[in-house]
Amino acid sequence: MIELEAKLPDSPGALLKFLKPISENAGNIHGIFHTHKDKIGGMIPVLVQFEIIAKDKVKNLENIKKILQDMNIPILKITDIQAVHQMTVILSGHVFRSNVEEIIKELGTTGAKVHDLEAKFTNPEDISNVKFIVDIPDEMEDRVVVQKLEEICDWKDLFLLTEEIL
Amino acid sequence: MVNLALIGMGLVGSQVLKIIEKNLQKYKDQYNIDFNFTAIFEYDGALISDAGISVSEVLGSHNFRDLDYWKPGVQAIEAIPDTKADIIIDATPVNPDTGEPALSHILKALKSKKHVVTSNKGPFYLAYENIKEIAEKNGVSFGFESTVGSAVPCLGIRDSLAGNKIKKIVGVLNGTSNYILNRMTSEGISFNLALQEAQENGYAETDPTLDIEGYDAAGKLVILANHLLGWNKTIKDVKISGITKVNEDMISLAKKSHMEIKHLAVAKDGELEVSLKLIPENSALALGGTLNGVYLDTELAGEIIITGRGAGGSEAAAGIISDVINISRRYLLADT
Repeated sequence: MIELEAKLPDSPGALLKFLKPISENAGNIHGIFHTHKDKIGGMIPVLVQFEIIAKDKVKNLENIKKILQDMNIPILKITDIQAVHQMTVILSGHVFRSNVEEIIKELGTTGAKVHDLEAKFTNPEDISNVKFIVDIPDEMEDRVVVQKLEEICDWKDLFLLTEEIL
Repeated sequence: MVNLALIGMGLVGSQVLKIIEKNLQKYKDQYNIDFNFTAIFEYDGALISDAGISVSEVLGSHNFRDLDYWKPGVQAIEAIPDTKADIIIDATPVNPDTGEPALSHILKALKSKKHVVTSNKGPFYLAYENIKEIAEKNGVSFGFESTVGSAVPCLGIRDSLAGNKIKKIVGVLNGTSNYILNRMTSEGISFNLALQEAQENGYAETDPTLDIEGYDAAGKLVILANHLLGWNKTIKDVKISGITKVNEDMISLAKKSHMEIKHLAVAKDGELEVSLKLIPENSALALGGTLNGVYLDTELAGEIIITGRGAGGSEAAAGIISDVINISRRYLLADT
């Protein structure tokens, strides 16, 4: 999945012209964010998420970039983002004393990433409860992540709560 | 005539007597079955009459041990082979570690070529294969529907799914744990307060260990896995953890993600586990109160969910009675 950020003039047809090279180069558009309220100097930021359905994805993406540059459309950023699904987990115990950063890094060695974190505690030295929202690449099995979390929680003497997907 | 013997006149046993007595005519009209109790065993003796015991007299008496049927000192384990009963109903209080005395009663009855019905889980999460083998060898049957979910047909559903394959089982199998977690979720109260409330309302025992530490759910999971999935497991094969580690903050964090914390019993990929898990708040297993539920993932029919009241004297008795009627219709009606 590719995320492309650009700036477009605030004029009729500008968005359509911008999207044309993407679709003509086998770009299957998943989402467009076109926020008029963030207009500065007559230019509006746009973010489009798309997937290139072609054998030579790199070549197609280079084509898209070249055409947009030839159209004088400033490209701010292109990111290749992985398709992910999310899992919610809760850790309970002396989570902060156990070094949350270390936990997140260790979990990251699987390829999964902590996307969001929320904690409830009275005082970081006491028992705390921390919820992670974990992004797991679609091609990865959930049990790989759960096994790693179980190892981490055994190591750090934490209680682990994971989701049961029906 | 189908002759019955009951072992144990406690909460469940007395409900079995009351319900059968009340519905004798209905069973005759609907199923063409005449039920007749020829023995009712207690720990210190038995009521015995080959011609039949007047259940209304027993239930109405101030002390049934004063009745003429009463034979002090007669023990069920010795008397089973000689009783006129076609079906032995075991409703005894059972040691959860050994399944006794129910396991011995069941094996003795089957070896004496008598059918057996029980609500006791212990024998089935400890010795299911042995019970099956002895029943088959002696050409008799056994019913144990009320061991899981009482009258909710968690086990009987197997016959309705003939030709289909169940890939996974997930259950909310213990009403006490479910009640405690639900109260913590809805009221934001502590575990200890929710447990106290459960005990005051009769939803938890004075010693709730078997329920809140997951052993009750584990026993039921073994029964489900063996009967519905064809596995050969015992309670020793279950990875068990209870609900005592749950706290209000965990519940609150779960709620913010539109999730609930449930005590789930899961059979999948050859493994059995009872533990706390997160499920979406709109999940079919986000069951309220003390309800039980079983989720089946089937090959041909997708997801099937059965829910209902999983415990209670009349609920368990209803499960026993349905087994008694089914066995009577399948094996005994031709002889009556």
